[in-house]
Amino acid sequence: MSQKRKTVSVDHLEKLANLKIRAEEKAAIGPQLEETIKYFAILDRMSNLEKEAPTFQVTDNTNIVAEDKAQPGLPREKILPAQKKFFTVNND
Amino acid sequence: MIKFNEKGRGLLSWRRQLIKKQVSSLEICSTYLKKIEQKNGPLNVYLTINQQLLKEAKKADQAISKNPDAFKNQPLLGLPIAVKDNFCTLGLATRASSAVLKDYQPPYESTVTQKLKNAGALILGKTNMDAWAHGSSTETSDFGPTRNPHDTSRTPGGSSGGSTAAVAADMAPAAIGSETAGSIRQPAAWCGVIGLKPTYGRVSRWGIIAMASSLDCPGPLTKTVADAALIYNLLAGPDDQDATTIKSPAPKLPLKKTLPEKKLTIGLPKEYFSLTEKETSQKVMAIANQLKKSGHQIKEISLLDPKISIAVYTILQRAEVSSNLARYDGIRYGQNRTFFGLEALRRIMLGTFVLSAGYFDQYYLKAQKARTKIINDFASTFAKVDLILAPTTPTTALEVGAWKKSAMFGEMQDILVEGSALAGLPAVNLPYGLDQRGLPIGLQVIGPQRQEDQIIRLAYQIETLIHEED
Repeated sequence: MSQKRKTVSVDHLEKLANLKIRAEEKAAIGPQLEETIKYFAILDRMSNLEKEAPTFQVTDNTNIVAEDKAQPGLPREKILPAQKKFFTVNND
Repeated sequence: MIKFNEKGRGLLSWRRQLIKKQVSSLEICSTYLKKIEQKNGPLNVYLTINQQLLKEAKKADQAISKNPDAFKNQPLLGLPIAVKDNFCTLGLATRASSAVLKDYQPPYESTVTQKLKNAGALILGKTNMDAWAHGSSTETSDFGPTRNPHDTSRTPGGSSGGSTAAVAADMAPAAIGSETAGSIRQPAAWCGVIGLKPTYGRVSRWGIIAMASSLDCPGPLTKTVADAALIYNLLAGPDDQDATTIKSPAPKLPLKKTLPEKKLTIGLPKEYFSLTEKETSQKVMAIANQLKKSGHQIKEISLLDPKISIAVYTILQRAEVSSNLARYDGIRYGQNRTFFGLEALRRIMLGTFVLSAGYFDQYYLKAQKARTKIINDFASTFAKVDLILAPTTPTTALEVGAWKKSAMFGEMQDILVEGSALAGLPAVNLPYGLDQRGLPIGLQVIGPQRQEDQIIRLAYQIETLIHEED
């Protein structure tokens, strides 16, 4: 898989993941990502992998639904400090 | 060098004293607070101490004096316990050791801590961990690294390193940790304590700061096998709040030494031994020989190359991390995304990559298919053997600073535990003496899903064999 792949674009991933990364960290992360991705090539050595069904849940739980019944929400006095009546959000 | 490690009493031992009125909950809790005061500076085990502890202990003492049978309904009444910082606790800061959550006060209680409180347990405090549980050394914590009580120049392992160090340094009689792939067993091995990782879904994830949801699994860290069984019995079972919990009730584990019901066939995976330091391998072989003498059959087995598990785990875990950490947007949980540390950034970026357009099939889907292979590999192995016995970690505790040298440090330390975690299998780490450097050696027993009972019975037997040697 590594032959087809271009070098990872740290800038593109930063944007996709909604991160702001300092330049020196970016310089370190790029090669580390490459190193880790190269390691994944070990999966190409597994035989008949294409035919396997993927596993998303290991204990075979399916279609778990909750009872359609209203539950009480969290009480405001419990989740807000006593003096506050609403949440405030920092806009930085 | 000062010796920080200390055996001390476990939960059941304290409980016997409480029942006989030889000690009060207040005295027990005061003892631990004193030890924490002495040791927490150098070891950095606790991030938060429960300031209400002594008040709660007095209340517990009143309940005990009023009703001598109180322990029947509340098996942990008046007994303190340490909790990893990623479990939401009402009234106690919950940060998952990340600066992003430095001011976070959860508005609800995790199922695990609620069950502990219902059983009468008192929370001593919240223990340090790798930030977001990303790591295997407790060094990625934004609140400084925890030190190994056996040697403070070394790490306790991780990510539940604060919890395992608390038990090893007797700063708690027992603790709660969580494992995604190794975070209970690996630090338990490096600190010389017992760590039980239940079957995936046996213990509810509700109220745990999510890391990789298809793997995360809470469990006990203790000084004795019986204490691990005691906590497991209280925590295991279905929970409506977590749709991934196993729907059938969890069978209770024996709290008194109970041996396997029949002679077992125990498999020793040769790939695991060849990756491990000689001294550790030899110790595990010695236990295998003793088990053989007691009548069990020992069989060499072959499992899929553990390096495959590393690749599969890294892809799946990073993918789930990038999704789970997307919610920390600076609006709902205080600090914005510039507060993520280097390890979280690396993991979010890699997870975003393997899930991004054009790469999903190549990495994520392929890894999920390989996960099926790993599950089938264990299934065919368990058709031939009842349980697997192996070293828990390839080396004993490493020096502080080792993680920075490798982008996959954690995975390499967890190479012997990732496969079983990916398959959702239960397993236990048992400490078995020290190596020549004076560091604890750990061995693990792995079983098929839902076979905690078999694992605990063999763990009782191994614990007895080790005690006879001492």
